[in-house]
Amino acid sequence: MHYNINNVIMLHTISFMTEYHQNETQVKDDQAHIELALSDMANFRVLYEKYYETILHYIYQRVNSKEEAYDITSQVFLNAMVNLKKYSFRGLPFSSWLYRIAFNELNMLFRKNKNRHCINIDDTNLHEIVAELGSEQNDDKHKLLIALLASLPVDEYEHIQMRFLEKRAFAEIGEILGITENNAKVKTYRIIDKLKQLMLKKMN
Amino acid sequence: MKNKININRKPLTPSDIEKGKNFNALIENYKKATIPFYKRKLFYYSIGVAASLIILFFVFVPQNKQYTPLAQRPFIDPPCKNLQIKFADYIVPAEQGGTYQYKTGSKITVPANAFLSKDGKIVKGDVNLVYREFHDQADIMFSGIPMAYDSIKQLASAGMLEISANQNGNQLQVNPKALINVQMACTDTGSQYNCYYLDTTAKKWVCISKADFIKTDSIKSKSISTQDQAPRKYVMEISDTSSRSIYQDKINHIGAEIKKEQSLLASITPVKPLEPKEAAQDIQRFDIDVDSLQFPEVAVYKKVKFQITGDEKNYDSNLSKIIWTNVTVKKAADASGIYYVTFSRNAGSGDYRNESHTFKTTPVFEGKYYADAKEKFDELNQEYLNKIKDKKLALQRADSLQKLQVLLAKQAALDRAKNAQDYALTYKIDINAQRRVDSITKAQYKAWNNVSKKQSQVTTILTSDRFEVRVMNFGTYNCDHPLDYPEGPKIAARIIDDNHNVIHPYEINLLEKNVNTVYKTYTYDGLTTQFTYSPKNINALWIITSDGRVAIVDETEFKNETKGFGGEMVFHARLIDVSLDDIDKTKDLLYANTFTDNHLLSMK
Repeated sequence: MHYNINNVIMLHTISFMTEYHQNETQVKDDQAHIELALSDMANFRVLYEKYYETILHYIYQRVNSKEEAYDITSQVFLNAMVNLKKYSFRGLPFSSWLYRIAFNELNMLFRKNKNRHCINIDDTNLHEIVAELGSEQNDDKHKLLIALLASLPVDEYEHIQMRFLEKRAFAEIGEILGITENNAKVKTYRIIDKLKQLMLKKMN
Repeated sequence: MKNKININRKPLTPSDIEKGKNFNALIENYKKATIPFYKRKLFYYSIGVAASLIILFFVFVPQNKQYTPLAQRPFIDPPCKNLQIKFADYIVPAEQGGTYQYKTGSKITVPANAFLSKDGKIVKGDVNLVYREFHDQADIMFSGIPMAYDSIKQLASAGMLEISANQNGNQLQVNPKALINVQMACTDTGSQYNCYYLDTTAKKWVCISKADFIKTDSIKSKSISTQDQAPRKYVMEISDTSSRSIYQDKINHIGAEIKKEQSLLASITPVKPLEPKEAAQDIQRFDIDVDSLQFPEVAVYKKVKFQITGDEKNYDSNLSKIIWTNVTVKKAADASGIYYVTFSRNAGSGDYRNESHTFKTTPVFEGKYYADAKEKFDELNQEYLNKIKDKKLALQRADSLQKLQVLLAKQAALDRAKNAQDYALTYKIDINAQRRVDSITKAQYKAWNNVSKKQSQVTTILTSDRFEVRVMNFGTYNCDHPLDYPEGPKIAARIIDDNHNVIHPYEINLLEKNVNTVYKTYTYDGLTTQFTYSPKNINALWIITSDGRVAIVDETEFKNETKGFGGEMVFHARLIDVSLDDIDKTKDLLYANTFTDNHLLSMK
């Protein structure tokens, strides 16, 4: 059978199911905890315990030190508590909202100081990007890819990181970046195309 | 950019994660962050600063933000950009010239080679000549042309004209050796009139000569009708064009997509391939070449044989010994896969002459050809299944698009309804605005009814004589005579509307009945206007507000002296609806609501 690009993307979406996908009960549980926290912020502890690790990991992947990650994570949860009244349930996991706060917090940091953006790559994940680029798997290609990733603007790298290194669904990427799922998909594959071109150029 | 890279950095351990957790500290920070602003010191500092700023603002800053200082206004300043007298355009062949007639009956005579380019060369080819006239007070007001003369006088006009020419957008000059002649219809004649040219560089009127009038008995006098039809009700109509266009674009786009899907659907024609069967032992079969157009499902295979079916009882092996002249194959109408093979014989002699025999057969393959056919079938069948799937998908897409189109149409209808509702709500809230519009509309209709009975009273009467101008420079010419400014009390006037809200004037135009000029005055603070008017005359005001509306203070207001605001004179104005953008209709309203009887009749 021949697959068109939509088929391919659809297959990726299926294989990239992450913790973003929560069942209805989990989502409703969060909603109940939010209501409790609104009456007494001490009740926010449950949500804090539940999502602290996830958010810390997300932030740690983007900064250089643990201390920095701790500080930003605390700021994210503080912002979440202060703005909890503004949170409106739209059927998405609460974590999406936290990621979005984290994304904004990091953006503010990088705007203030561009040097603080950091790329953390587990090289076992590189083969997927190389495969996506339609290239052969070898050390040279991996090294070249790392160099190319490092040269991408922060916002473009963010797409690649979330999609291929953190294996997030496009819906979740869209939610974090404040764009539509389709837009996230299109942008990500545009960046892949760009990487492909850059790689070909470098190889020639 | 170059980012810092860490490869295979050690991940966070559970103890690392625990180390960062501190909910108690977070709660403390939360409490600090949520102290109400009014309990913080910063609040009191802010209050102090804000109060100081407010005081400074009221002491030093003029209150009307929209007030445009006089110094910043252009010399020719049309107060309403959408209420302008339109230019007439004439295409003039420059080498030949020509004679052109304006709607008032004025005649423009262009001699040959009347135009020069910027560098003084004679212009050839078609030239765009633009021309317009101003005949009454409304024309003068909306033109923005100043009528003040020599700082102490005012020009009263019998008619003004503006003329210029361009070629491909480049302004042209007059050829002094071939002057354009204009015979302009005017509202008055007499020895008091002069011809003036508006020098826009020196910013003043320049008297050129005494006005030349020529008798043109042969030309019938024309009137400029300002009252062809009843004033329409100047109530804003609910406009849904924006929302409609947004949705319509989408709906149209989806319509195009649906068409694409439908044409795709039409192009997908899945044909189920014929499944090959292996030839059976000891059953008669025929080797027939079939037409690939007639039987494409058979022709795709090689070496097809047509084998007699098991239930065919008519076959006689003796028939195979006869030489048949014709063989035809016909497919069964149902999908049974049966083909009827008919043998017939027209030539020759003997028992079988003119005989024909038809047998039920099925296509079969022998040995290696069966394997080949089987392989071909698998390939064709896969294509067939793919086509079925594609067709199904195209159908689904077309169906979804149609549903989306219906939804959008519904949404567009809802939005239109919502716009209408919002408008109605807004309109209800501003009941006073409604009343104002209603009252002025009634007044307009009443005035129109009165006026329409005496149609001639509301037309600008033009004389049969013509004011002759030899155009030495392109620009504005005026047939005028200077007047003294009105003599009488100097007043500081404020204008209020029906709801006693103060109107902020951009400019105020004082009118005197029967005097064809407007005395333009401006506010000195955005609110109050000082001017002198003559109580001996019948006066009125036309006001252009700072937000671009037109208001009328009619003659009765000058009779009711109302004092207010610390001794200033207060005039009550009626606003004409802001949606007006038609100069003729606006003029109708102005003239119908300013003086108790139409003054244009007696202007002559």
